Amino acid sequence: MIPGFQYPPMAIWAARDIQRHRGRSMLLFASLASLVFLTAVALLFSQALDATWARLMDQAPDLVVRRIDAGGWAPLPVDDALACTKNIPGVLDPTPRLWGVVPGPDGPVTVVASIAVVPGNVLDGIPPPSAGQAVVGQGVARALSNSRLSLGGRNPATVNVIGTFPADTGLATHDLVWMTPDDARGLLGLTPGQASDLAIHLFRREEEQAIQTDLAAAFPWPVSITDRSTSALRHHTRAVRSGGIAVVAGIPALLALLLIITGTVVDTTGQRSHWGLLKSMGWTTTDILRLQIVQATIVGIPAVVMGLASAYAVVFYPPAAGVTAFWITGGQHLPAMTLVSTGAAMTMLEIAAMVGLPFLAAVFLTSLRAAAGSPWTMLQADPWN
Amino acid sequence: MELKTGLCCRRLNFRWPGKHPDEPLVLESVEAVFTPGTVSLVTGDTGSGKSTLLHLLAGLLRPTAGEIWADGQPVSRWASRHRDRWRQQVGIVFQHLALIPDLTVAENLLLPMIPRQISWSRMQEEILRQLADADLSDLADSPTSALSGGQRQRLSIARALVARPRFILADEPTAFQDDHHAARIGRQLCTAASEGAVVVICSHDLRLRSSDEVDRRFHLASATLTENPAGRQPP
Repeated sequence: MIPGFQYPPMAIWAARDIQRHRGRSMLLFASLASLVFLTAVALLFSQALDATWARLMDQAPDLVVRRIDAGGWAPLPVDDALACTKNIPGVLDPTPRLWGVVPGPDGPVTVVASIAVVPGNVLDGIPPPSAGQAVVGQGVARALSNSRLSLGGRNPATVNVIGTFPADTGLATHDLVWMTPDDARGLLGLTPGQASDLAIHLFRREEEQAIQTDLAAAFPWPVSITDRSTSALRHHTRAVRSGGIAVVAGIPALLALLLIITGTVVDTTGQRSHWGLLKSMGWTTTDILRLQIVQATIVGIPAVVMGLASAYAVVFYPPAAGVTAFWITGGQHLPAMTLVSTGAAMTMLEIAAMVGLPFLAAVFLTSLRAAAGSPWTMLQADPWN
Repeated sequence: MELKTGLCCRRLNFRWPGKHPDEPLVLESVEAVFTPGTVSLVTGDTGSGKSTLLHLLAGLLRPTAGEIWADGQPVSRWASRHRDRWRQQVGIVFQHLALIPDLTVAENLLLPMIPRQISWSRMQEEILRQLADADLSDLADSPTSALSGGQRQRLSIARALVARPRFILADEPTAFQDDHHAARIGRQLCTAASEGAVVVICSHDLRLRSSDEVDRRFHLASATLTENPAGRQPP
C-alpha cells in the first residue's frame, strides 16, 4: 500500500488539499491524462495493427510460389506446377490462384478470381460474382460513381459491382476486385491452364524456411517463394515503426512537459511557506513527502485510467477509430482493429508505468527539495510575513 | 549535568546567519531553565529578541553557540530529521498567527494532529475541547479569513494546544484580546502548565505582566536574559 493510505487522516487531508487547489490539480490531471492518451493511442494502435494483421494472416497460405523470368512475373502452368509439388514431403493442398494487379479508375487494383488468394473468413457470407460481375474492396468502391467498374489490363473490361467487402477486412481487401476466373484470365492475359501463383499449406508450419529449398529445386523454371513469416514480419515492422516513431518523437517532449508542470504545481512559494508551517507544527519531511505522494496518487491514478480508457476507445471503437487511423497513418484506410486482450493489457501497463513512475519520481524529488529546508527559512517565504 | 525535565538554555548565543561577526549578538550567553508546570513570561522591548528566543526554543532556528536541552536531550544539536520529529512535542503561537485563511477553523486545528497518528475520534474530541476553550465553538465551520483579529489569535492558541504538547511557546498571545479573553487565555496556559507542560510566553502585555497565572518572569534586554526574582510586576 502507498505510504499514507494506511493512515486515513493523511489520505483525507491529501484529498482536502487537492480540493483546496482545484486549478492546479485540474491542470495536473489534464496533463497526465493527455500524456497517457497520446502515448497509449500510438502504442495501442501499433499493437492492434500487429494483432489485426496476425488474425488475417492466420488463414493465409504458408508459402506462395510464383514463376519468374527475365521480364518479371510469368504465368504458371497449373498441371506442371502441381506435378512438381506432389512428391515433396510436408506440402499439403497446393492450390493454383488467379490474381494480378491491373489499372483501376483510381489507381492500381488487385484482381482476384480464386478464394485462395484471400483468407476464407474474409469472404464468409458474400455471394460469389457471376460472369461480368465483381465484389470490390472499400477503396475501390469509394472511387466509383455508379455500379460499373472499368478495369485496364491485357484486355480491358467493365464489370458490374454487386457488393463490397466488409470494412473490418480492409487490411486484406482494400484494393481487391473479386470476379470469375474467366473474367480475371481475360484481364490478366492468362490462358486456361495457367495461374498466377501456387498457394501451399504445410503439414508443419515451422518448416516453411526449410522446405523452400526443396520446392525451388522441384520446379523446372526459376521461382520466387514467399513465406508467411516474412510477410507477417514486414507488417509487424510497419506496425512497430508506427508506434515506435510516435513514442520516440513524442514521449521525451511530453515527459519534459510533465516534469515542468509537476515542478510548477508542487514547488511554489506559497506551498513552501505552508510546508514550513506544517514543520513548525511537528510534520516531518517524510510526512510532507507522504502527503504529496498520496495527493499525486489521488490525481494520477484517475488521470492515467482516463487517458488509457480514452485511448482504448479511439483505437478500437468506430467512428473514433477511423479518425485515429487517419491521424496515425496519414489517411491510409485501415480495418477495424482486433483487440488482443493480453497484448492490450500489457501495453496499457507499460504506458501506466512509463508515465506514472516518472510522474511520481518528479513529485517526490520536487517535494523533497522544497520540504527538506529549515522550517524557519520556509516560513519566511510566506504571505503572512 | 543538565536538567532532566523542561527546557534549558545553556550559554546560548544567536546571531542572524550572514551577519558580520563584529555585529552585536541578538542573544548572548542566555542561561535559563523553563520547568514543567510553570508559566514563564519573557518581556523586553520590541526587537530585543523575544521572538527569536521562542523560535530557538521551538527548534525552528539553531543557536550560533550554546545549546538548548529539552527533557535532558540536546535538541539544538540534533540533525534536522530528529528535530522535525521532536517538534511534535512543541505547540507554538506565532506573533503573526500563521493561520491558513482558506481553511475552516476546525481544519486549522486538525493540521498539527495529522502526523501524530491520532485516531479520528480523539482528534474530534480534542478539536471540540479547544474550540470550547477558545470560545470558537460556533465558528468551527467558518473560514479563518472570516474571523476577527482576536478570534484568529485565539484560534492560533487553540492550534498550539490541541495536540497537548509538552512545550508551549506563545509569542504575544493576548495582543488582540479584550480583558475577558486575555484572562481566559492566561487560564488556558496555566491549565496546560498544571497538566505538566512547559509554558513560555513572550509578551509586552501589561495584563500578563501583572497576572497571577505567571509563575516566573524574565526580562530580555541587550541580548541578555535575566530573571526577575520579585515575581509579579506592577502594571
